[in-house]
Parts: sequence; C-alpha cells; structure tokens
Amino acid sequence: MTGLVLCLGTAGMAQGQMDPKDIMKKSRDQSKLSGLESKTTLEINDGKGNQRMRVTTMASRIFPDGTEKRSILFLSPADVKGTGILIWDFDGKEDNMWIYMPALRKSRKIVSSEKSKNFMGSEFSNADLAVENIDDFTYIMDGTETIDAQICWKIKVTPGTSQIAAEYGISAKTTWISQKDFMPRKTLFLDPEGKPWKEMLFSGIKLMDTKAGKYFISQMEIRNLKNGRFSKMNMTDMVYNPNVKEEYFTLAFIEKQ
Amino acid sequence: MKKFFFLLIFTACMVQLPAQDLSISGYTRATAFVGIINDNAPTLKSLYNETSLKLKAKAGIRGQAYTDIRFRAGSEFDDEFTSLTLREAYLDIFLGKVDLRIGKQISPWGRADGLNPTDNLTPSDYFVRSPDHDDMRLGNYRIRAQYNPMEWLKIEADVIPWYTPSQYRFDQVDMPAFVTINPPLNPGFQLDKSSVAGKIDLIFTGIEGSVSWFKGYDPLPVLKPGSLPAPPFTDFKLELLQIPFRQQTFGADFATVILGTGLRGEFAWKIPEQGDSIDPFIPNSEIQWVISIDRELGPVRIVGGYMGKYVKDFLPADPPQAFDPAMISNPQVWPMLGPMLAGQISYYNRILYDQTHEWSHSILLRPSVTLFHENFDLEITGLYNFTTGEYLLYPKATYHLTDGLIASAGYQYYEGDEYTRFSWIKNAFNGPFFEFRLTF
Repeated sequence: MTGLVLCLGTAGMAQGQMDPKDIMKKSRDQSKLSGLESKTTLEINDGKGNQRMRVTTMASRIFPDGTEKRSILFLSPADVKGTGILIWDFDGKEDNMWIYMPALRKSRKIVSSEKSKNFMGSEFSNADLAVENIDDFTYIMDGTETIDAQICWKIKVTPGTSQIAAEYGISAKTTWISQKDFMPRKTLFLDPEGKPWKEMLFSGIKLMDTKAGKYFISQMEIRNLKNGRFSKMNMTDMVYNPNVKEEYFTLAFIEKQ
Repeated sequence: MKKFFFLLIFTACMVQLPAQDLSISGYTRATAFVGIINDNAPTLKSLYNETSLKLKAKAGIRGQAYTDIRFRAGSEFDDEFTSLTLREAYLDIFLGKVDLRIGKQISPWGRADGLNPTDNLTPSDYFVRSPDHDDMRLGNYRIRAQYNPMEWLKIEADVIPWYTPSQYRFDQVDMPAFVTINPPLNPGFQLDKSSVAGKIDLIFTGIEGSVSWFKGYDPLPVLKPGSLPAPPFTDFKLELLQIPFRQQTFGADFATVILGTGLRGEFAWKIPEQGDSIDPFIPNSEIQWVISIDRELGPVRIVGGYMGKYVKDFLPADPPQAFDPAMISNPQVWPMLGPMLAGQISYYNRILYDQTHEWSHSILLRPSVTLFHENFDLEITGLYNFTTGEYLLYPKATYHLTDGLIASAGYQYYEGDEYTRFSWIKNAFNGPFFEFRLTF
C-alpha cells in the first residue's frame, strides 16, 4: 500500500509538467502484470439485437528475460471449445504463436495476425488488445477532460509513419488517461480518412499488484460509430500470481485441454 | 452388442465422477452428397445424420479419459446403414515430464499442409463422405509416451500393437466385373510385429521441427491375387486380397515464420520390407517431400504447397491392356494368365501408391476468406499433379447461422486420365454436398 501512495503522490506532483509520451509509457508499463490468470467473456453485438458470446481462460507471465508468455483456452461456444493459443511475446523480436485446434489434432505454428484485423469477429482489433510499441506513435497533449468523475489527460496519438498507420488501420486516436491512476478511461479511433470510427471505454480498473503499483482493466467496451456494432470484454476470476506455472506456456499444455 | 456393452460400462463409470470433472460435447449433423457423373442425371450418393458424443473425464492433474462415440444412420453409395462407432477411447496419464496416452486414438504427425508423408501411424478412410477432413482419419490402438525434459525438447515413442488398416472402397472403383476384392486381412497380434515409432521435436525461438522414424505395417494394404481359378475357366472369377506389408520410414519436418509468411516442410524416406525374394506387389522405396507456405493478405489467407516424390529402382511399365475373360477359352493363353494378371494387379498397386512415374510433382493452392465478422468462410482448394495430369477443385462455403449452428456447401471435382487415382474415385466423389451441423 505504501508503494501505491508513493506512486500516486509522485503522479500528483508531476502531472502538471509530464510529457504525453511519458504518460503513455507509464500507463502501459503499470498495466503489465508479472503474472495473471483470468476468465474472459467477450460479448459481440451486431447492433440489431443479435449477440454472440466467447468465453476463454487466460494465463500470462513475464519471464526474467522480458519475454511475456500467454496461453488462451476457449471454453465456448461449443464449435471452438478446446482451441488453445500460445503466444511468446519477445522484446524486439517477432512473436512466436501457435494454435491448437481439436479438429487439426496438432499444434500449428502460425503467423501473428495483422494488427488491424478484428479479434474473433468483434469490434476489437488485435492491436487494441496488445501492448503497443510506444515508439510507433507521436503524442500531443490536448488539455484535460473529466471522464467518469476522473480528471484525465487528453492525448492525441498519431502513427509515426504511414506504414504504421496502415498496420493499425487508423489515421490517429485520442486517449484519455486518468491523472489519478495513469490508466486509460476512453479511446477514440479515427479511420484512415480521419473520421471518428470506434470508441473504446475502460472500466473495472483494479489494483492487482500493490507492491509494484500494477493495475488491470477488467472491462472494456468498444462501439463502432459507423455501423452501431459493439463488443464488450469482461474479465473475471482474476488472480494475480507472478509464479503462474511455467507448464501453462507450453505446447503440451494447450494440447492436453 | 459388444459396442453397446462398452458404452454402458463407460457411461456407468462416467456418472460416478463429480460433475465438474466430466464434460460432454459433440455435434449432430445432417449431410447430403449428390453425385454428378458426366451427363447423367444427379444421384444421391450419401444422405445421413450423425451424432458425435464426446466425453472427457478429468481425474485431477494426473489423468483424464476421452471418448468419441458416433451414431450414424442413413444411406451411402446406395446402401442403407445404421452404425455405432467408437472412434476414440483413451486414457491420458500425466507423470510430471512424461505423458502417456493409452487406447484407441488419433494423433497424426507432420507439420506440412496438404500431405504428411511422415504420418504412417494414422489409418485413413479414403471414401468417407464428410466435409470435415478430420473424419478421414481412423483411430487405432496405440500406446504413446511423450517426454518433455525441456521446454524446447519433446521425445515421443509409440507402439501400435494391433494393426488397423486404411479403408479403400474398391467397390466404388471401376474394376472388371470378374474381380472381387476382399476386405483387408489382419495379421493379428504378434508382439514382435507391433508397429513402433519415435520422434524428437525441437522447438526453438524462430524455428521448430522434428526427426522421426517408423517401423511397422503401412496403414494402406497392397492388392495381391488370391488363388487363381483353374482351367477350363468356365466361370472366370478373380479374387484380390488386401494384404498389409511392413515398411520403415525416416522422416523430418520443420515450421518457421519468415517476413510474415509461414513456411513448413516435410520429408520422408519410405523403405518397404521385402522378403527373401522380391514381391512385385509391394511398392518400391520412395522419397517424398512437401514445402508449403501460408500468408494472410487482409481478409484473405493463402496456403500454397509443392509436393514431390521420387520412386527408387523404378522400372517403367505401361498400363495393362484391358483383360477380356473370353480370351481364356484359348488354352494357349493359359500359361500366360498368371503373369498377365500379376502385371495388372502390380499396376493397380502403382496407382494406389502413386508410383506410376519415377518422379512426380504436384502443387496445392488454397485461398480462403473470412467475411461478415467471421460468420462466413469461403475456401477453394486446388490440387494439380504435373506428372499425371490429375487435378482436384474443391470450393467450400460455411456460414455460421448462430454460435454452434453452421451450414456448409461445396463441390468436389476430381479429374484424371484412365489408370490414375482420380479417375478411380471421380465417379464416387464428383458432385455437390450440403450440411447442417449443430455443435454442443
């Protein structure tokens, strides 16, 4: 708890003169938990009253060499139940990713999906759910606004190059970061033509690691402003555990489930 | 009856377990295959309903049991049927770094797309009528041990004590009327004749691969003549037997990702075992290789592959002349009858094992696209054999009506010259299919 007080106190003192890039970096770093297990429910709504659900369990752990490993197991719907994904996210190297599908009966090394591609048919893109490379973007402070009773920095984020813009499928985005806990509350994405495209809201922000001051966002909602589709992601059964079993991040594990 | 008894016992065992340790899943589907042969009117090749019941019971961290039972009823190739099949039933035992799997199972090998020449452990039902490729695989009784001493190393050993042959519906192949082909012979259990295999998988950061070895019965039996009829051949009949043969395969495979493109390869050197004298019905030694790539381009995913084969000690042979049973009324032909029929059957085996040419080369291309928020999938598989001229076109569309309920439709079109595998199967396979499947 002392760590948290110190952390927030420092934030309060420094908030007036902080660089937007430093804010984004701090926001990113303090949501990187050294180990977590959780259950995720993804609700996909087509805006016409039809709804689809995806339920997964996830385990993640950051290893001493900086590699973050994640394993995701699908619990429902029935036609994807038993599918497992294993990701080894290296610093500065291309990720290793495997998928195990019961119908294939073997793990298959796959190419990481494109960042702009929708995640499991939802409005979330793969990039929305991954940790961004801070240097891929430039940042401009655009004042402050209050979101959910939180005073937030409003930061305009622009891809550093046209290639990065194409990779992410956006021209720019604006992110609102709380001055209290440095966690995002809202992001507005602009499409390649510069028009408002998607709005993502963050809630259920929980302090998971009091010692290191690490937070976790347990609820996200994204709404497509053009077609009315929206998706919600809700994390439950979250357990912070820096020593998540190493065997969870092996091919043998995802093949056994 | 034995099957029902087993099911009863298994179900009784399952209900003893706590509810959270038992999961039940499966599907029910309604499937229809229509046959279209040249200008003939369409015929109904298959129309059936099938329910798959998959039971998984977990016993803590030390083990689990899995069973896939399939009930099927309908008609196939003009035959009405009702069947109950125990497709898989095995126990997993987890002993730290060692995992054991014992029982009837399907655990294919190979990292390449399209063809896996290193996979000699999994028998196939080549004539199963299903849009799902996995249904072609048959379970066999097997003991599999996997040892994972390190994250990057996996060592596997397999024993198949009981031979399960691949199924080939020769009754659906255009054969002379006087030929009957018996079901595969089973050599029965002999401990020293068990099929054995080993594999070492290496998984590194940028690349992974394996080396493997197999020694045992090839899943696909060869055709051999039964006893030849004796002169004067008043009612000429030829009985062909399906006889398993033993072979040894040395294999290797790899998978990597280069510049956003998946690259896979597989290699196998198969050496059939000959007895004291050369058996003309057993295929030659052969080397097979596969290179495949896959890449995503926006919503489109492309899988492409090249498959090659070299047949060792190849002796050219022409396709056999059509055999007219009427000619055997001439006694001068009788001494030549045996060699003539043997030559014909040998050539059938060459077709069956794709050994009609010393070198052969094929390509595979499978573009697929996923649209409408992953509700609609469309893929087209194209396969072309440059050596024999055979080709396959197989478009397939799948629509997810709701979670778990899908409708799919497609068309299989095989084409090949006479005395090729595709010419054998095209009348059985060519035509559209439709399926509704509910997964639970």
